[in-house]
Amino acid sequence: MIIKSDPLQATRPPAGAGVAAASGKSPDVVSQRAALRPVSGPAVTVGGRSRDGSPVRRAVRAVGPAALIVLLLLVGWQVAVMVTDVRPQILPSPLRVLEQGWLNRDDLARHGLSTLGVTLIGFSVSLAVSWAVAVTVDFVPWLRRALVPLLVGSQTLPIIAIAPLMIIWFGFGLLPKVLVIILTTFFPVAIGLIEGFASADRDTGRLLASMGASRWQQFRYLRLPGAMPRFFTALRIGITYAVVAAIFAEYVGATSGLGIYMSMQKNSFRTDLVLAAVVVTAMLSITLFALTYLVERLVCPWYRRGRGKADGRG
Amino acid sequence: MRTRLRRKALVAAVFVAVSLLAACSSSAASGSGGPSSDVAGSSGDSSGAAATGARTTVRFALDWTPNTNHTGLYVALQQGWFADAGIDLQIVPYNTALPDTLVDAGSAEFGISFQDDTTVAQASGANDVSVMAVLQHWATAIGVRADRTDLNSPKDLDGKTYAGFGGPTEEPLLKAVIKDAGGTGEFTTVTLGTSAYEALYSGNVDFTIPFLAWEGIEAQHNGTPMKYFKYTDYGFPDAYAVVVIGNRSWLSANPQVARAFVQTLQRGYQFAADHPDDAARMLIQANPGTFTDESLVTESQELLASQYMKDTSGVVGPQTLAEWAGYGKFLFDNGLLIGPDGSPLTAEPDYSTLFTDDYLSS
Amino acid sequence: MADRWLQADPLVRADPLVRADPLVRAGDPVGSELAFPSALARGSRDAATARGELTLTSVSKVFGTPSGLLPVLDGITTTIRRGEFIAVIGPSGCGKSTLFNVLTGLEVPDAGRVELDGKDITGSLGHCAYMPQRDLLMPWRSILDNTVLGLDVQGIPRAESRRRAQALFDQFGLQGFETAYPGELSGGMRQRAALLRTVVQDREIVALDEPFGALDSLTRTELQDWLQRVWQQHDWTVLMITHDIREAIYLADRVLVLSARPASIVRDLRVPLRRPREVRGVTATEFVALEAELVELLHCSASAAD
Repeated sequence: MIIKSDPLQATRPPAGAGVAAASGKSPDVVSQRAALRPVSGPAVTVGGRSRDGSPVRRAVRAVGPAALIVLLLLVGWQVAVMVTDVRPQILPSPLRVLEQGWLNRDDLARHGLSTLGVTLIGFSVSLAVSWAVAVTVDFVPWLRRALVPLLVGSQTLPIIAIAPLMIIWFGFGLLPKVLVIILTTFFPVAIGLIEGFASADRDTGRLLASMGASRWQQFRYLRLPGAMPRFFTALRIGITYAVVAAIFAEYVGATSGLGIYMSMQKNSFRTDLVLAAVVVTAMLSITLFALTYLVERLVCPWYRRGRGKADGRG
Repeated sequence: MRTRLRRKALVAAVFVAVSLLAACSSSAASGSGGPSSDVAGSSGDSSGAAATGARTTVRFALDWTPNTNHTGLYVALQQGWFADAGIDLQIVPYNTALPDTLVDAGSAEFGISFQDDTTVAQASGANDVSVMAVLQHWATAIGVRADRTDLNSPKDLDGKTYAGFGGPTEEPLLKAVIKDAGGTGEFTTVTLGTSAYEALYSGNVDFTIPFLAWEGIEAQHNGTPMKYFKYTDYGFPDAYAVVVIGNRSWLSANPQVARAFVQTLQRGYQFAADHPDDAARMLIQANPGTFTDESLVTESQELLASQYMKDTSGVVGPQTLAEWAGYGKFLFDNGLLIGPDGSPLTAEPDYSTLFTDDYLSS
Repeated sequence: MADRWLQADPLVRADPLVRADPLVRAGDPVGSELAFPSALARGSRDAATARGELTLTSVSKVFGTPSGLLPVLDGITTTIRRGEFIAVIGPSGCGKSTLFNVLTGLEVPDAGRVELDGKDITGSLGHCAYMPQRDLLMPWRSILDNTVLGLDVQGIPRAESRRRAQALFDQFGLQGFETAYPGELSGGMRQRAALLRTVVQDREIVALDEPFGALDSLTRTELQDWLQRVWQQHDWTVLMITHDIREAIYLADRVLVLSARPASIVRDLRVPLRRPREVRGVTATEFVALEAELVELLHCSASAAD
């Protein structure tokens, strides 16, 4: 047998064997421990924890540079305002925005919650529509040629012009707002899903066919789970539009919401409060964006875990 | 080592960029940055300028797409009166920025405004002042569909839905009128902007604030007439519905041009008030394709001319302290005047500073 | 007792990799007396019934391509008895995979038929458990759930299918890895998992398409050894495509040599070597002779293709 003479053999680190030689423990015990550990080797993660730091450290490292740049911009802005003594109605300083935002936090919170509610409802409906269309297209391929141009078209509609028409057609309840959000956010998710389904591994599809799988089983076991990474990427893109779309939808007619608030403050010459509302909008968007990572972790635990690990060793 | 140096350079560049940006906008704000208001170059003396052929550019910001509030401007333009006065008029079309903001920032020298808007703006520190009154009285009123037999007085509006425009003074005004009529002043506001009128016509909302000389006539033409509750019928102070504002710093730096401009404008509006049909025609000519219903324009101008534009002596333009103070006090009492620091004014402002008749012809 | 054979073999004792593999640790008693009873039983079964006999008769397949008709299979005829291990070798591109597709029912031949115990199963799915070249383990399923894929398709409830698969985990050297994800396993372990997925379906025929092709030679040798032991225990009928002649001789009862495209059976070579076969037997005279013969045959087939 070749094994003994192969120098590669000596350097390859199966989990327990080296320890066995060193510690002189019985081979059975050592191998037992080895059996329970993944063969990938010591340098790579176990259970998702990185060798180079706790989750907090990693998060800081991920966000750090961006946060630093933002901070520097804010400092620059603050100093510029102070040095040039420009009036807050023209350009308020960051401190002024924060101060006034805090003083009016009740209003901002009330309007922010309203916008958040509309966003969540609208985006949920948008997701449902995206899924319905994508699944239909996957099962009825010729529909793809019929529908995809429409999808692309929906993305290019000028919402600014459509929105007021919505009031005439649908009144100013929840419906026109949901429609505006759908028009703005539906496209990336639908396309992401359609392509995700279509990107299913051909060979695995044939394997399933050889097992006797029906079209529905192919979808359920292969196409659907395989589309999840693409779906979450598209979800993240869509959700960054969602908050802005909700605010836009408020221009279609609303009793409250950040869009209304910003409009009112603009009419009152309160540039500082307009910017405060912008900050709240950004915070909402970022929160929703971060939430998608959390949901992805729950739905696709395998996606972040299995990647980057040793491959083909053994 | 090199990346650290590059990072420092990036920081410095960003800092410089932001400072420059703010400095540019602030210098514009001080009003000295107008495109050609070079006092040394020309004293702004109209005869001198006309003689040498040099013209001063003046930018005028509109509050909306051209309508009969702007007739005087277009009359003067069409008649060539601005050119005669050595002024090259540039009309800044409406986007979503208020003329008060544009004039304050120095992006325009003059603009259309409203008594409540400019009072609020000036209280917060805007560098604007009202130089002329276009309409001497309120030209809006509470409007409901004429077939609403259940709505016969503002107090019937309690619990109803109002289609608003996002202005800070709308709700307090409506509340005051409703209360004076005997109601509680509790109603729902839906901010619809320009779709407000459609919503009223289609019955989705109960009341809004139409412009009597425009939406009012339009509603009649469309076969959905309205009935109105005027604010002043319910103890509410009168106010100048439409005014012209100017940038204070620019006015002090260019008194000759300022006077020339305002007087030319006043001449245009006076003509419109005295010859509404001709003026309407000029308005239409100056804006081809804008007005699909030309009879609306003519009727509107006639209504404005007969009831709104002229003061008691038949002159268009003069303003009184009494009217500025009356409505101004309402705004102050309702905490709607916010100072530059962001908190409501504690002391009543001097209303005489809000306006000036110095640039009108005497 | 389980480890007796293992501990007796000095080569095995010296090799740390082999010892670390839980499969080896489990110690299949191939070298012990336990192996023979199954082999004996197999022989007696053969005599008693002809169950599970697979017959291919004149199977031909032609593909239509933009550049014209392409004949791929030409009159493949052979009979495979239950429990036999058949290796299929041939020049590259000769149509081995197409043959497997016909076997599994994924493709319908243009001529000929496939029969199982006399029943025509041409083009019908579900008789053959197929293991493709790549392990095709789904990254979103745990190893255990990956192995029950075929049972899921059959509609067997998860609890039951998991139980069935779990029972084989020890033998396949995957114990402890039930909840791991494919990304966390080595190549060899993934292939074993794929094979488990294939055999747990309990089909009459197991079709392996170059199961060890993607692995390094050390792992491959290890797995060949293991496959032989496990096959003997379970009495599967196996058809295996391979490019490795040594592997074919080591594992198979018969080796079918295919010609170049369009493929027909050039030689049906019996491998009379005694079972259980040892890796050391690779150098035995008989082995070398068989190997030489196959090399020559393949060489001729390949040159015939040019």
